[in-house]
Amino acid sequence: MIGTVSREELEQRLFALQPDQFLELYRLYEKLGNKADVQPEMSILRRRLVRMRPMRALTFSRLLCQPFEGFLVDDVTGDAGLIMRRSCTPVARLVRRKLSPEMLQRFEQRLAHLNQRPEDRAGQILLGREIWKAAAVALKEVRCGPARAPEDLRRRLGLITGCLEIGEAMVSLSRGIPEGRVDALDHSGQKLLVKLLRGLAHDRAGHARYLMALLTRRLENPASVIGMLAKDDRNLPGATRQNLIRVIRGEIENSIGASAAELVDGKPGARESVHRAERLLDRLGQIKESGVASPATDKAARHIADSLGRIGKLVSVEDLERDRQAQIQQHLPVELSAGLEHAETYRELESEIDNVIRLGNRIDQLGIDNPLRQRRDRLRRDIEERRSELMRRLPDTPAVPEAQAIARAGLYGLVRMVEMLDGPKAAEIMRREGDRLLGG
Amino acid sequence: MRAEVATEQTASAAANRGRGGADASTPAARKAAHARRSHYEPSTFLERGTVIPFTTTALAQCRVRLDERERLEVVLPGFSGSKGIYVTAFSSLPEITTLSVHDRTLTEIVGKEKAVTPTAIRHCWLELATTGIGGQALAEQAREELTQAAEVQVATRIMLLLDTVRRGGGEIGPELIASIGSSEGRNTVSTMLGGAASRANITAIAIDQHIEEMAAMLGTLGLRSLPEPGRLRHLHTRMQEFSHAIDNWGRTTVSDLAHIGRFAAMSAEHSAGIAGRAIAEVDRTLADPIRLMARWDSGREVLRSHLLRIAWLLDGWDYVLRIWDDAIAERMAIDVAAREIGRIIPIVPAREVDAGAGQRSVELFREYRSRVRVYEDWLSGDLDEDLLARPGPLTTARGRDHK
Repeated sequence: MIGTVSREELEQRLFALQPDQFLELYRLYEKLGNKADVQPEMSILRRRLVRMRPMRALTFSRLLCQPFEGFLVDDVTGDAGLIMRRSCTPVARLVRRKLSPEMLQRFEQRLAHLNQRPEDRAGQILLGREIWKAAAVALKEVRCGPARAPEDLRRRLGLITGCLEIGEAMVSLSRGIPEGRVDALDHSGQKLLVKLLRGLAHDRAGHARYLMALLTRRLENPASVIGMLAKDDRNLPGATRQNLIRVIRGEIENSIGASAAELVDGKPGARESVHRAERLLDRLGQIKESGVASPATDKAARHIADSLGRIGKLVSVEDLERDRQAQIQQHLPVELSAGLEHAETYRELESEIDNVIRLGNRIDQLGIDNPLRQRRDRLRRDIEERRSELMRRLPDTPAVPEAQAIARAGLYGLVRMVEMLDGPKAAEIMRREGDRLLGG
Repeated sequence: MRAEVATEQTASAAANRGRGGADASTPAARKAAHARRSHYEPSTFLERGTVIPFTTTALAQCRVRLDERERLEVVLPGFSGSKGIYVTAFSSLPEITTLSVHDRTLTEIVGKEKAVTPTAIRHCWLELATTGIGGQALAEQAREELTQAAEVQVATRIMLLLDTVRRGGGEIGPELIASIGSSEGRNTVSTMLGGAASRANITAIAIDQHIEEMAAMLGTLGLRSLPEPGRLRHLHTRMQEFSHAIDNWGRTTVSDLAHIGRFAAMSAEHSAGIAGRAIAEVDRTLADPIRLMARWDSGREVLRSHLLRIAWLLDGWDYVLRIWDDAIAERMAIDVAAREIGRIIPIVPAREVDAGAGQRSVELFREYRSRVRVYEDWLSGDLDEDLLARPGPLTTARGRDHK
């Protein structure tokens, strides 16, 4: 099938299927997954799967990876605290090789039984407990065995083993944090964390760092956990709390350091870089707000602000070009395509204003020198010049629909930018004046 | 500022009075009206109103409709975090919140056109958005939608032409099919409409005009056989996907909002099921285009009303899907998205469907308003004044604390 049609065509056909038909196809591939290598096909199905989120069958590999799934990423850069998603299959294969056939058979039978009852969470955890324990022993042997793996791989294997050793706690915490973008733990999340920390066995006390690492990965504001631990003097001993605070602060600084380095190495002005800078500044702002800023975080903030200030343009023309719809104009009547006359220039300007405002506001909140303020003033002057020029020309617009539509689109595009810079009131005044000059 | 809180019944109560219902000035009527407070349960599409695509966050998913004096009014569900439905005059919107220039201009256009149907409001919005007043990204989105509709229209016209020629007994060879994308090819096919014209008992020119008109009407839906579906057909598929996705989320999450997930899934399934039947009805109507064109005056109205009904059924769902997509892409927490979806979820009004589906709508509306909270009536969701007045444990405990 893949040999005769392109990947895009196949994906398009899959998207054209009715949702029920698509789910049927997915179930079929899921069944095949245990017997044949269908990863290429599954990767094509994945884009629609993300949207539909069907209930997935519980497999050995999925259950095995649950304790460390919070650390899985598609692409690992320098951060040793992350694991490549595609390494799940080889890890599962390695564990399977190390376990006895009888044990494996028993696990598979119980998995098949659990798949009949997807709501049985307790059953899943009970089986998971056994699998994680056996897998941790097996992987520890590999890690400490005679065949010496490279240091980086050993470290990642260490992370996997550590998570498996406290598998139940890792899975409970992971499920206790709502999905999606979450700022801080809510009340029930905080209670759960304390319960899990108190429940760690004495010889596993050091493993609390995996729980902290998971929180750093999953929460937008992991510094909130520091505040929470600092206040909670009833449930945890002081020494433990200090230790945990040190661990989480270290995790935060590491992750900020890695992200700041990525930002500097990344493509300046590209959408991803701007987005990354924004999240990083948000995180720094929240750390500051939590009152746990350290010299390292202040330094990172200044470093990010300086590198943003050095970037010539906070917008990537290539990104904008990629978004552009090429053949838009040919089908549309002139009144509806009039905006295209100015679209290219305005899109670039608007995008830059948006980035300068969003990043600039965040830098301001950090209370450090804002190199973007000058750029914001420059953009304001530029828009003001364009506004004066446009207002001067508007009364001379010919009274033909095409010219009127183009002039109105030119006016409204500028109105939007004035709104972004000076607020809706100034923009509304400009629109009314412009409409009056146009005779509307 | 004149605003009425939690009175979805402001319009319907007035309408009842107009129909000879009880006068609200009597105590019994007042009591009955009070009992109905916040019972947001519009029975027709017109009463539910149409979503107006404002960019101001506080006004997301507000609906516009006509009041009993044929003036525009706006319905705001859960405005500023409140539980009820806030109904106010459309013209007073700028007084209750700061509007963006895009929203202010849209308000003026909708007010001028008196647009209350999804089709009319979409038309107003698309025309405005292409000017760039809401930003170039929005303008691009609007132009893309218009372009897609134009492409679907062209493809629909071609498919209808081919189908009509074939049904009229004409033969279309592979060369002609290959050239149909060009205007010469289309002209050649148009000359072959004689068979269909005699079957429909109208001229070939009229057939060609009817096909063009039909294709223009179908720009947002498209034909079932087209590889690229129209906007509404696509939205319908996405709703079914959403129903699966949020239902699974509701079943697997530990969040205390899981019930909203299941409620949203039920609502999506209900609306998608009804919309699916309406779309199938259009497909059936178009199965024999010659028969439809033979009685075009009535056929056109039937087709138009079917399409409007589909637009009503799917109205408001694109925003629901957008916030769900944002949550999936980790731009917001799923809990936050679920709460917002629970607030604005569109439910099909009971009188717009048959008895069985209507009963389901009633149940969904009941579910919508029956999230039990402290001091609220568990059936209606209203504040229970008796319960509030009763000296309860909270008061006692506070009293003890003070001592």
